[in-house]
Amino acid sequence: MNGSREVILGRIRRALLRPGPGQGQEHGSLNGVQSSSGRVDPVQLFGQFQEQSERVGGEPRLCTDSEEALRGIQDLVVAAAYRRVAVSNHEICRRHRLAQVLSDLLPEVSLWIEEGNSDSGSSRRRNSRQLAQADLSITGAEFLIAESGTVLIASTGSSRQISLLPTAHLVLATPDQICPDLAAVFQQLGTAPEEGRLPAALTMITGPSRTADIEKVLIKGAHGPVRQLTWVIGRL
Amino acid sequence: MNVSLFIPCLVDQFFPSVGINLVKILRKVGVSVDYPREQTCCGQPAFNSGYHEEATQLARRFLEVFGDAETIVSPSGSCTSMVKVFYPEILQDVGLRKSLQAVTDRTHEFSDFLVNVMGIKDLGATFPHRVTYHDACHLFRELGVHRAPRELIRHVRGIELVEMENSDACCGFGGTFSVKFPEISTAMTQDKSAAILKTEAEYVVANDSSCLMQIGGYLSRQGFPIKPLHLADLLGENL
Amino acid sequence: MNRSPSQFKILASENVADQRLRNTFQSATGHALGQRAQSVQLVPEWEDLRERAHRIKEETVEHLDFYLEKLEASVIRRGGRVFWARDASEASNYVVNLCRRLQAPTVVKSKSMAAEEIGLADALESGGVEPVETDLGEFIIQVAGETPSHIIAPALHMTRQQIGKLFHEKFGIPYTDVPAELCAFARQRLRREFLSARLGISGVNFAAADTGTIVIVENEGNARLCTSLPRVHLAIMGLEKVIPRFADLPLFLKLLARSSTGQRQTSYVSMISGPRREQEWDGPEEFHLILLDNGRSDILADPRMRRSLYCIRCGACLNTCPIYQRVGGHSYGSVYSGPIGSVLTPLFQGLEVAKDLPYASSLCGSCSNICPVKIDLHHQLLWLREKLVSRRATPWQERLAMSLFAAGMKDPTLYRMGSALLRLLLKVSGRGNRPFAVPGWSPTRDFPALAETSFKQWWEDNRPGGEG
Repeated sequence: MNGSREVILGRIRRALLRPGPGQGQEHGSLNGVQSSSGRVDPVQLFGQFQEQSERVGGEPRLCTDSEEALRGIQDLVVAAAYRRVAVSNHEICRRHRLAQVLSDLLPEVSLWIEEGNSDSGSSRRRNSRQLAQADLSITGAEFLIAESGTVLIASTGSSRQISLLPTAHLVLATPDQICPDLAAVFQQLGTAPEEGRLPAALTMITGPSRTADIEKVLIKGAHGPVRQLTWVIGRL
Repeated sequence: MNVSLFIPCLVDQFFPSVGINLVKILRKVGVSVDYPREQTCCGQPAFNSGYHEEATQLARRFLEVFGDAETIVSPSGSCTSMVKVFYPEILQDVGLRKSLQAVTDRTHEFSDFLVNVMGIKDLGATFPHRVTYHDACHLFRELGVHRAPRELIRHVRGIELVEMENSDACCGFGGTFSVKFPEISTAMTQDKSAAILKTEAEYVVANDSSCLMQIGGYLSRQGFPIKPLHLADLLGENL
Repeated sequence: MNRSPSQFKILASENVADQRLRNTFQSATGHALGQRAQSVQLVPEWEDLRERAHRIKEETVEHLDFYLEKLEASVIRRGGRVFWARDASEASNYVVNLCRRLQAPTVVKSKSMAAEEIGLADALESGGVEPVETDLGEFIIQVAGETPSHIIAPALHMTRQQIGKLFHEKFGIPYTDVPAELCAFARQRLRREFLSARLGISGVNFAAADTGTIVIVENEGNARLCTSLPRVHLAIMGLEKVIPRFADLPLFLKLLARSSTGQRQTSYVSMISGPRREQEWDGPEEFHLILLDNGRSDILADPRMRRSLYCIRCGACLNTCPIYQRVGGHSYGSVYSGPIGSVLTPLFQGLEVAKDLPYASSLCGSCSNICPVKIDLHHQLLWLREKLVSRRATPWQERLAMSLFAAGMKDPTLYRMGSALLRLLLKVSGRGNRPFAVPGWSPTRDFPALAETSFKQWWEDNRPGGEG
């Protein structure tokens, strides 16, 4: 808090003594959320997610079970000749015992496992440098949004940098995480936001990092991952 | 029905045929036409340049002159929008509210009047030519009128309407803008003209004489044979 | 390259004559408009969304003090710090002092119009701190010593060859004009900065008062890096960026992404509520939010101009503006260009400095028509013109002409007589009704001839006997 606070608020209050152009709404009389509610067929939802993700250069895929997903990761790493793979400590990665299975499946790959979250600033910086070297990272997500092909991740699920620094980022998810649109996601968050139960960072990712700053030419991988993969594991 | 003509000063002084043809059209559809002789200018030139005091005086005059009119019809989308959209913004006095409301409600741009008030699309005109239509900014965006003029054109016998690219892009006139920023204004007209020429039409039709003055002025300076034509002239001359 | 809004006329006429620049802007804005149109078409309730957003912004701005205090409380509750800055120097000093405390020789910065507005980069440099722009476009123009020419695409005015040459000269890398290679170079170079910087600075697209969440919308990922890696994150926002509720975000995000780039969603949307929490993996230990006034409370004081504070900086009004399309962003001599710039710059920098800007519009209305929060932009320009006139800041010749015009038009007899007299004079002088040469008009366009008989005269002469 500082001296200018009162000055600025005073100016604002004086300014607002003059009525504005509209009627001035009641506080809280309007709400931005408006979801296309109603049940949606999961096949259709995934179909829409897939279409939208592909449209922006994402790589969505449906894996019927854990085994298919794990084999898929193996193929992906081999095909792209990825040397360093980072695995987050997200619940879904633990559930599929990724760290263990991948070290068995891909002995030649150097695996980096994200663990512990009470680390100091210096070890976080070490992690940053490690992750900046990684070819691929694997994390989970909180929600998938069909309307835009978006995945929503939280800073409580895994670190912020693991989904950001590596060259490719693979998100693992389940069919029940797919929501039709952002408004539906917000509805699912319920009263958590108002009650202050939001992670420090919620991030929506839609396709790979991109820029068109040079002559409007679209380039992938401006600062973040060049590839963004989202695999939904399970039957629809 | 009694219609009072609202003839903008530009039409009065430079393009009287537009008014004359409008009279012809209105009589043809069976309304009686009156021209309140005390009218001059709606005040738009002053208003658009920021001279709102002058504009307000002229707006008040307009309300006096047209206060008793049953219906007011004008061959200009721009001047009609001055009355319908901008008068309410500058005439804030409570005392005028009622007469203002009455006048704005009863004022119509002529194509809008013919199609949406009278329900007439076919005036029986014949014009065996290829034309393209320019959406004047105020008519299009302030008044939302774009179907009516096209309906009227399509019902002309022998006519061929070819749409240009970005028909709703500004022609570059903008009142004093055209002389305050001649380079930008001309660049806009240049692009508008290119879109017009691409249609290979013989005439470019619009419902505002000011746009036609800008487009026509550029086209004739460049020596292009394509002619500017007000919709009232197109319809009235060829009945 | 310090341009001033007072130079608009000169800069604009130079730039409109530069055919390459004009093509660049026309094709880029045309492309953006096409993308936007496509994505908006898929939202049948678009008009309804615009109306809702307008109402929410209205609600916010009409109770701005309430929502700012609420925002402040929410940010503090989440462990963040809030600084209220009256003007550019207060804001800049705060950042410079923060850098000193952190002993940060460099800061990484993502795109922020508010930071541009207050010249934060220059202030940091004078304070001995190196600001590193990390948005590719911003990075390019920083290296070039330029200013942004578009809200969304700051380096829009530069060609790939110019950028290739620039990188070759400044960094000694082999010349290339392949955009992907230029981008890869920037990525690699900036990674080093991200990994070592202690302070990351970002802008704010929206700030939700109820949760203290700031939202940053981007495509490159540099804002994520700025807000994730350094030990401290500082965000700077104009006061008007506050929105009442976290729950309003789906609406505003939908409008912003589609209006600015035609995307359904930008690549990244970061919703940040305070610093890293205890049980989280990483993220900044400190979060600072600067609430910048810098003239906004003055804008608020004029009810007619208040709507300009609804702006969400999408850039759509620039893209659709026929003037912006032809003169480009630099002509405006200010960080804000296009129609919103023509409204904001005179309000921020003073009408006298920017008196051409309110007139730099044909009032075609396409800006108001496209604005996702329905700001009546071209009406705002009209009010600014009126302000200029009431301050007698327009040329005396124009004032005189307008008084004469009004006097003549107020009196129908005078009008009639003038009209007749003019025609008589033309006849007597032997000039006939040949067109006049009108300054400003006639060099490029023919002016129409005065009609021999005015409509008024025709009506008199043909007074309808039996009309109806």
